Amino acid sequence: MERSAVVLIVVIAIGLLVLNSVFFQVAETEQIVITQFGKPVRVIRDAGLYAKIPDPVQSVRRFDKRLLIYDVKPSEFLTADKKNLILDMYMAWQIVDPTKFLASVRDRRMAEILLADVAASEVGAAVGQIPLSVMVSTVPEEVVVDSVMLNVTQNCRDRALENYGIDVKHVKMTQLRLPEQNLESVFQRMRAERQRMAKKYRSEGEEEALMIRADADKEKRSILAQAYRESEKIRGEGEAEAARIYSGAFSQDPRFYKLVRTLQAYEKFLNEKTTVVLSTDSELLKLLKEGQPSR
Amino acid sequence: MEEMREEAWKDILLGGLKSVPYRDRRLILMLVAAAVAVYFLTGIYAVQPEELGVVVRFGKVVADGVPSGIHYHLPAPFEKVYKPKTAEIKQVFVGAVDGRWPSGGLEMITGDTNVIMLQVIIQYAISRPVSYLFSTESPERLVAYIGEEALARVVGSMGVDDLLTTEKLKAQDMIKVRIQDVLNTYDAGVDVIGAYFQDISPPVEVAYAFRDVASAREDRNRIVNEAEGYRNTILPTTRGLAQGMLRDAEGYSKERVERATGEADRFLSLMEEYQKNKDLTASRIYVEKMEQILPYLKIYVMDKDDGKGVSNLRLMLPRK
Repeated sequence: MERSAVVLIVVIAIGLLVLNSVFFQVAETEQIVITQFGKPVRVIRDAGLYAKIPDPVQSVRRFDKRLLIYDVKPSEFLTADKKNLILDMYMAWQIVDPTKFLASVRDRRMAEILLADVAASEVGAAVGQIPLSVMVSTVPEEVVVDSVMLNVTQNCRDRALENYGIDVKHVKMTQLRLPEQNLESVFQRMRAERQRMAKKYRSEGEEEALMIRADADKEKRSILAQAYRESEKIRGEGEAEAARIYSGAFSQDPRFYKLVRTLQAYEKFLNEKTTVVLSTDSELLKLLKEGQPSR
Repeated sequence: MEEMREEAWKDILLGGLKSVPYRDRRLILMLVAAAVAVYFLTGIYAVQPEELGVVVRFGKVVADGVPSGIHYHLPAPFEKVYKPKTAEIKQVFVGAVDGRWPSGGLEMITGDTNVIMLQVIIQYAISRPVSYLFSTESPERLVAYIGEEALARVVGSMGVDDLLTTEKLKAQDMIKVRIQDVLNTYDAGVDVIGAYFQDISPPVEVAYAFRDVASAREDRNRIVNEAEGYRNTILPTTRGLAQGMLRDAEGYSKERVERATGEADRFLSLMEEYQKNKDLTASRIYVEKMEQILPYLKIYVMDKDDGKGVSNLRLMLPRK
């Protein structure tokens, strides 16, 4: 009994070992290089179940097939106009030639070190050619970051593909920042700009207010002047009408009018302060002297 | 031949069991059978309504977009199921470390070389589960980096004032479009839903100056409003005044006409009488008027023949 049980276990164990060494899975996220005594003999990119000659003759090296992201450490660059800039970048890359990758890079950590060097030299060269004013600008057509980074990407891709079997899909600049010591001068400029704007708003307000007030005063004068003109005209019309009425009436007997009007005037301007000297010849006093009205 | 082989296998497989009593042997077989059954049952899986199932056999995708419900796959190590939540809206905080922004947010340079602090959220959803699962290392990180890049470019192409005020929505749209464009080149299996500014503010170092601009703008409005208030009080008053002047003139005019008419009528009436007897009426009018006036006057009467001047004869004193 013991013998047959041992045989069974041994058979199963050896079977599993062989199975494990012969059959292997390739996941959707992987690509595989099969090495025979360390020499690459086969590359598998498609997922599935595969078989090979068992270890130690052939062994499996697994590499990521996915798009990988590498956050390049922020570093300082000098622009063409001698401004320091801290640039953050990321690279999106993929192992496309696992055999070459295995030979020259071996693993991801090493790949990132190599890529960082490539990117730093390419970006440094590119940024050194352009001034800050075309990296940020309120005129979108002026901003050249995209084309510059496209160029950088192309150069990095060429170098990485050739040397490491890596396809660099993108090198992209994320943040761009000013170093601490330059920041203060930017803040000063920002403050000055703001002060200028605040001043401008306030004086614009004053200007507009003065204009409104002046307009109002002007309108006031014009309204009053118009009213004056109109009222003088009305008065004149009234006076003219009155004159017409007077002359219509008085012209019917000018002599009588003269008499009446003169007498009316006497009443107005002769008063207790007036002294008159009357001759006894006067119409009124004739009787005083003559006693009898003349015939 | 076939049978013999089968027998041999049976011997090997059951050889170990031969010494076990028959009853225990049955028990062991039942246990084995139960274990096998349980093993196959582990292949049952449920896909929730918000998920889609993706089944891989030996690492290769064999079923994509399995809808919600109960399904079966071959148990491990043959098959395996992934269930990404395709209906879920995921979000990343751009530039955040462990889901939290550094104080104030992400520092960026605007198109007019101002520094600004931003907190931006990007929402996205899974559009193609297989790509989402297998084509990139981490769709979330990818979206975060692409988002940061898009944010930097868009912010770097706009003025700080536009960003803080009128162009915020436009900036969000531009960021969204840019992210989607880049994502499309990566086959990341995600669609961006939108980019949203949580907070956008000047750095603390210059915050006061920015606030002062806002209050200056308020001041401007206040000063202008006050002036308009002045205009709004002065103009109605003036118009009232003008109307007053016109009414006054009309009154005056009317008065003149009425008086003239009255006086004319009076004159005409009197004239009618006068014309009936001119001399008499004239004398009467004259004397009556003198009678009326003279009592108020100082009068010196002078005899013309005397030649010596004033007789200093005061006929009447002014009435007190």
